[in-house]
Amino acid sequence: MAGHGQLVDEFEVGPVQVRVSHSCARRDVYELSTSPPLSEAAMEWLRGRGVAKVDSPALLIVEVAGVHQLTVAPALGRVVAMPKLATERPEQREAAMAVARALTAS
Amino acid sequence: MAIDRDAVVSAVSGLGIAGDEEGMISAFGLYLTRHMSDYYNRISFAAARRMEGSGLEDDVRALLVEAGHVCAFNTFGGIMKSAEWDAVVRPMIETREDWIIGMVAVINAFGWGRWEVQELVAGESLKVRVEDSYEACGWLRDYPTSDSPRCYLACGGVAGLMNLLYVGDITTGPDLTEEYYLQLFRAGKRFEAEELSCLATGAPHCEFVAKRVE
Repeated sequence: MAGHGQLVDEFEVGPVQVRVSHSCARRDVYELSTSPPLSEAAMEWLRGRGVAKVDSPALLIVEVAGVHQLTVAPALGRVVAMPKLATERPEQREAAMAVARALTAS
Repeated sequence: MAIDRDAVVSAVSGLGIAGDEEGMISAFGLYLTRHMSDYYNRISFAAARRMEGSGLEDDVRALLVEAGHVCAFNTFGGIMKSAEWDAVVRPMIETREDWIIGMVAVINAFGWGRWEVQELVAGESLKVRVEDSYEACGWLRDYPTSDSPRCYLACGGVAGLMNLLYVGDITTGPDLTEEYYLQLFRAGKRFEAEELSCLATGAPHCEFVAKRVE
């Protein structure tokens, strides 16, 4: 089994680079990076996923109930998806892939 | 230095760091919990007091400081790799040393006491003063004035800052694995810290210095 912080997968979805790190026995953290800055369309899509805990020009944090938290540094083209404990790893991956596909499309 | 410490504290305080419906705090790329400082203090101090007179006092202290090393590696390291750091602190960073100044500003948003860098010599030493350290305050509330410093976690934290920046290179976003931890905290030229003065001993504040192991 991978240890905490260990890179367990790395791949690309279009222009989005995805790094998957082992976080704990139940969760992986997904780091999505693309050419900065994120487009306004991408930011609107991300905002629409849930409730924004922080929404400033520098930082967006969106709580997607029962799925994950998305932390977005738009100027750096960076999105971190932190899955909720209740989700299983296949769901975690699918939810992160949906974000990657949306970033690719926008 | 370019870091606006008040701006960092204000920004971190505004991140909405609170437990979710699962009781976890997802912040800085880490899953955090809100921990009762009294609980951590009491188990730490109970272990230390239990060993008094056993000849194992230094071993207990080393273990409790090691917990601080692990905390610094994962928590400070995770923070310095995070999207929040990139958004809030990184735009202010002009020098390598600003990474430590910025991290200390983030620490000051956590309620561990008021940390201030007194002196930072690049690659050589770090001196930090802490006012109202939660460890020392906890000690004084529950026990008589101590004959030795009691801020074990902070001591490990100060060394950890230097190891992350000058033994490893947190600025490059390394994977924070157990192997990397061992590279940083078991290296021959690693930093270790000493608590020079401690509120728990009757000093006016706590002071730490981290230097390379000879």
